[in-house]
Amino acid sequence: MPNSLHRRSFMSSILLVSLAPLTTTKRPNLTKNQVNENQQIFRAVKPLDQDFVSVNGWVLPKETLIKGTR
Amino acid sequence: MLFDFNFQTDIDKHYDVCVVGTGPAGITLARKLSEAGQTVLLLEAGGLDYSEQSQDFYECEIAGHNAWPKFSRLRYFGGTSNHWSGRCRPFDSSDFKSREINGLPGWPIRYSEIEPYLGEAMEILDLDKEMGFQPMNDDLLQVHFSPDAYTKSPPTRFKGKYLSEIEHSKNIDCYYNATALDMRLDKSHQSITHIKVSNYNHFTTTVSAQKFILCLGGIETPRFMLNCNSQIPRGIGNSSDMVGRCFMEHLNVRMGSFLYRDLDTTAGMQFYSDDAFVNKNSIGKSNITFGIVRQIKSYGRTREIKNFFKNLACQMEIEDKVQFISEFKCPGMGNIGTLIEQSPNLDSRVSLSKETDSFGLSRTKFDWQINDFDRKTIRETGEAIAIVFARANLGSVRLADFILDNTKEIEFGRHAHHMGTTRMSKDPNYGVVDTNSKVHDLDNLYIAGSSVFSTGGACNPTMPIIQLCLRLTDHLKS
Repeated sequence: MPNSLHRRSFMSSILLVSLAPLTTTKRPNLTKNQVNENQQIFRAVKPLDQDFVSVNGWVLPKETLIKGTR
Repeated sequence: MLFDFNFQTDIDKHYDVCVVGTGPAGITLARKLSEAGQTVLLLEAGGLDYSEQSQDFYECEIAGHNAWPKFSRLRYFGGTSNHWSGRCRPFDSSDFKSREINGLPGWPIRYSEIEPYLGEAMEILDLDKEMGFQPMNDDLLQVHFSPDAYTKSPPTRFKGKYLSEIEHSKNIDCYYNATALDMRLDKSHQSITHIKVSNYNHFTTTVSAQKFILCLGGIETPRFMLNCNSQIPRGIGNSSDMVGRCFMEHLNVRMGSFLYRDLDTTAGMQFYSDDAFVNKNSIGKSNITFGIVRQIKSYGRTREIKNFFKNLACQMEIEDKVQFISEFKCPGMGNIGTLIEQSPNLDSRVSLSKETDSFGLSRTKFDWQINDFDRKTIRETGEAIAIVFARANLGSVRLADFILDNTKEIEFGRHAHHMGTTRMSKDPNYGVVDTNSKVHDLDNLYIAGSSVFSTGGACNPTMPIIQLCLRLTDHLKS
């Protein structure tokens, strides 16, 4: 009995020690999410003609987005 | 003379003309024909004032979009003039340049045929003839849209203005509380001989005249004609199955909201699509109103609006700018309202319901539909007004999602302008009345009112209705 107990606690501690750094250090894939976010942002942009776009319904000159308004 | 048909039920005279309905069309015709020496019987189904009993006859079965006839029309002496807004704008001559829309011809007459009656129509509606129709704002857009030019009637209430005159007229006998139930034809089915009339006690009698004119509006006129099916199962004047078809309204579409760059601009601007833009895109006409919310400051919006333009002008990266615009929550300074021409369309119609009213007449089945032509008009007009507004550096427009997204259903409302259901056409296959407003199938039945409009333009219908009535009077006199 004591032997098996020792073995179980030993295995558990090894598992915890090896997993803990993985879970605590794992970070979201920033590059991938950033791409998704940008895609979502630009999905809101719809070209209307050569000079105008709509952004989420707001109709604006393209120049506004590129250079800012006058 | 004025009679309450609930109490005075003897109508034994034979009249020159019987006019059914006492709205602006009926009263104008009765007065003008009386002035010309003709004896007129004028029938009004309602009383002298509003009553639920009379208004109940507008209850109808709704199959398509709801134009709320029970709340937009009034069934008593003076008709819907008892609550109209008074906005007057004449048709353009281009409205009468016949062009085929949805396989249907446009007006068979030219504008020059109703233009001579404009001055008198303005007098009837108490408009300032010298002032005429003035643009209400500067030509700020310059492309595709001009400032709309209109004027406002006090508004003229036909009951208040003409009840006493009719009461004292020697040639007009006006019976109110007199509902027309049926029209009877001669043996050859070429002429109306008399009309069956009932009071609210269900006492019925018949009245006779040389000529009959229906002035019941764009919903009740076709309903009455279709209900007159005792001799002709399809209804009177309906040999080509056109009675009730082509119901048109002016579409009230909330295009979106807007921000003015110049916050001191306070007047609500109105624009009108110009002919070049309409013809180039093969769409209908439109009036666009930038209606300002007056309490902008109290909503704390001024700062938000200033920040919007400030942030657009800053040197943000494009992604940040798009994100900022997307997340901008301010509802704007006001809404863009519209009065848009609806095209004539066979599927948009008034027909008869299986339900009946207290006289046993079938109620209206109302199926108001817009089609792809109208959707194109709405979307192209919306996109164009937003672009020219920004191009003129007036500010920014935020369009409703259904303007830019073809997959979304367009949301629209009404203006209570019911038109087209007995449209004017040279060819009986495409209309109900001829160029003189006479029903094609018959020798002595005429229709007046906006139900004869072949197309509706983007102008309020009351003044053109009066012009057409004055023209019809001249025709009947001759």
